[in-house]
Amino acid sequence: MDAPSFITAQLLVSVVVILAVVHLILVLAGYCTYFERKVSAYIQDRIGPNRVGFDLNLPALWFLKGLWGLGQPLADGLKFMLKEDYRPKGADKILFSLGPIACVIPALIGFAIIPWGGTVEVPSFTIPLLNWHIEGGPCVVAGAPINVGVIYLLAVGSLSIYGITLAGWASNNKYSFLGALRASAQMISYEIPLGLCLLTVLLLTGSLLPEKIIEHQVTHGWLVLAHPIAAILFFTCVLAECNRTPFDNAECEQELVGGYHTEYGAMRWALFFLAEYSHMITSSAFFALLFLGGYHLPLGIEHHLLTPESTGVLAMLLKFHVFIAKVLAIIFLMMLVRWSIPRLKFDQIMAVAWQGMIPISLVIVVGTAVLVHTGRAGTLWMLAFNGALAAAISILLPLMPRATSNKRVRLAGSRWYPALGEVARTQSVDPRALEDRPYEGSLPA
Amino acid sequence: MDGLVSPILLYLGCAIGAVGVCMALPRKGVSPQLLGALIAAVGVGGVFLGLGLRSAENGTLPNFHFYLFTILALGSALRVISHPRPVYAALYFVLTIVASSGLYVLLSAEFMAFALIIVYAGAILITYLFVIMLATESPTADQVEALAEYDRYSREPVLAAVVGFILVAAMTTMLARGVQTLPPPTEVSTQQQLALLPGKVERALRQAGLMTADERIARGPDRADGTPGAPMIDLSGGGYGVQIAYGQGQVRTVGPDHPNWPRDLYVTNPEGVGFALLNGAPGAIEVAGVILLMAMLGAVVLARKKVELDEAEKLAAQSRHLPDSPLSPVHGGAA
Repeated sequence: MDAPSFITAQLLVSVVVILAVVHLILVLAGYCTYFERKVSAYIQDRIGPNRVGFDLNLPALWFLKGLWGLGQPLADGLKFMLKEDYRPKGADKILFSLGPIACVIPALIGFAIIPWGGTVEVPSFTIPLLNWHIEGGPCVVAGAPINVGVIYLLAVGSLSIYGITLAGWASNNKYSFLGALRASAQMISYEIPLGLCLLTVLLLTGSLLPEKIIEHQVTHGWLVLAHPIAAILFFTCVLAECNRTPFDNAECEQELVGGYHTEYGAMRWALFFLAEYSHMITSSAFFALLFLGGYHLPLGIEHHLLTPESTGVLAMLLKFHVFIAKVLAIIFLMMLVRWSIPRLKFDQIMAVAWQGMIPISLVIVVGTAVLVHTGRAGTLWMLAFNGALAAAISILLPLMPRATSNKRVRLAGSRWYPALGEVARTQSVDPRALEDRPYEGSLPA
Repeated sequence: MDGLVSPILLYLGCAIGAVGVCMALPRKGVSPQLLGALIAAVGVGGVFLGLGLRSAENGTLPNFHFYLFTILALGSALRVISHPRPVYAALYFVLTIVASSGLYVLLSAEFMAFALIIVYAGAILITYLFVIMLATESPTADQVEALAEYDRYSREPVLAAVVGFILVAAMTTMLARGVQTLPPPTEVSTQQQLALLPGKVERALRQAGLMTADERIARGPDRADGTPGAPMIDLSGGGYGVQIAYGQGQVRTVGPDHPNWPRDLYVTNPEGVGFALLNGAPGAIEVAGVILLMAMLGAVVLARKKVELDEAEKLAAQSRHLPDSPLSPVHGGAA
């Protein structure tokens, strides 16, 4: 008997992949919080979570006690569920709940196009009981092998702004709203260099399909070698899109309390956290796919199982694990960045995107297009182009006009520095100049 | 059967829809919004029925997803214009955009679908939302009475509905009957378009083992200006396939009937969009680019505030303002 037409081998593979990867992302997101705390503890010379095991306080389970604090994410999750579900007075009821949901959904559907395990050859088989015959064939090990490939990820990523904006506005709190505004402005700005770097990759690989992008890297070498500057820019954009430090202006504690999630608690707040970490996982997979060769391993350790031609189950599992290992490595790098680099000011963030990254990525796109059109698409040509670009930037940068704001001023002799025992008064010269607020005071004797 | 979709039925559907939308728009006093929405649904349903019956003649009845996306798009579009609170109206607009992109996917225009989401939902509407959120009251105003009058009531419900549905009637009539004076859309098969992508064909053939390393795609005779001629690719139905040059000017032909012919060799959706835009309307693209550049320059001009005072100049200006100030530009602190 024939199966309904929509039940194909690809659909079955996709369902299995979705089930596996969604659970993996949920668990990984929980344990990312644990790793984050461990990494921060390591950097700040502390120990980090080390008490909560899985012993549930039962003496019989003494051997599950401790365990380097591995039970901490579980305890955190339980705590979130048991806390009071609080909503501030005057908050918009519907949008206040919609905010975290609109945050989580794009973060959890973005992974659909990532080909975690390359292609797998499914044999023809018959489902017992139903007696449906399923025609076999090569199937992409992804949630949804759609025609436009990576464009889908861009679209889903651009939708993830709504959750933050809605949450900030619906909280009926000026700090939350300011955080949301900053986050959305930042995400819209960094989508542009992100798209341009992606365009560079597409120009070189000549395809939007993730499998083809990986195949190109298997035969021509990883794209991080051909385009190191684009890779760095892309990674920076990914940090900004995930709202990670040094781009976490949406929730900077000193100015905005918690930013858009100030008013959130319990499970709703946990959803924001889940969204952030799933976003990190998806973005890392995207970066690994575009620049780090997906499931491919370079140089001496490359294996015949890690090529597009091998489509067995063993090859699929191996590719999957290589991919996940790369994702974890990139997440670790993100954590290192978070705990090493201080937060940028908002105007600095905007200046980096609009005055730095967008012009550079535009030059990269145009240069790559010219090189590809003239048939010089090899890695060495691209490397030479990147070197020339880096040289040109370092020559041109000192010649560029300096920013008129954000200048560092020597304290001694400036208008902020009163003489000993004297009362210094300053008054704003320009009524629009915010930094020239009236000031009065003296040095403590 | 053709009588069913005569303009009379379409016009009738549009008229009922207009009455319904007119009633669904909020106005002062008692406004029968729910009833209006129902009537609008009946009217739009009538139009659908007409178009559906029309397409049933051709055996291309739309599937379940078409109805789902259409109802979502139209229903949320109605809420965009009838919701008293602007933030919700903007969010319903987002829903309309997402539902319409679903319709594009059904037409297998995936690139258009996701471009619609990126451009409209991801950039334009979020900017709208910004402006609305900054301009409207904070969400404490849960009661409709606390909202501004221009948000609570629509200004010209009758006129707007009539004009809108006259447009809809004209468009649906055109869709249902076709327009005689317009040329029919030219349909270039994706296989034919492959002739414009010799690099892609070459890569695919090499990967499939149909071309060896020292072979290349044959080219036609040199053009008048000395450049090599067009690559010899003809994949239209009944064409010869691809001519491959090897050795000393020898040529052999490989066609789609070859058993190893790559199955994934076709023009993808984004490539089709690119051909349509750059081959069909290059001038329009240039003009659009110039307009966007002008908008960007305008934004830069508007946003650029001239703050070029040096620190010493600032101090000088301040000491001019405060003549009795102990601070002078050359004051060196504690002396």
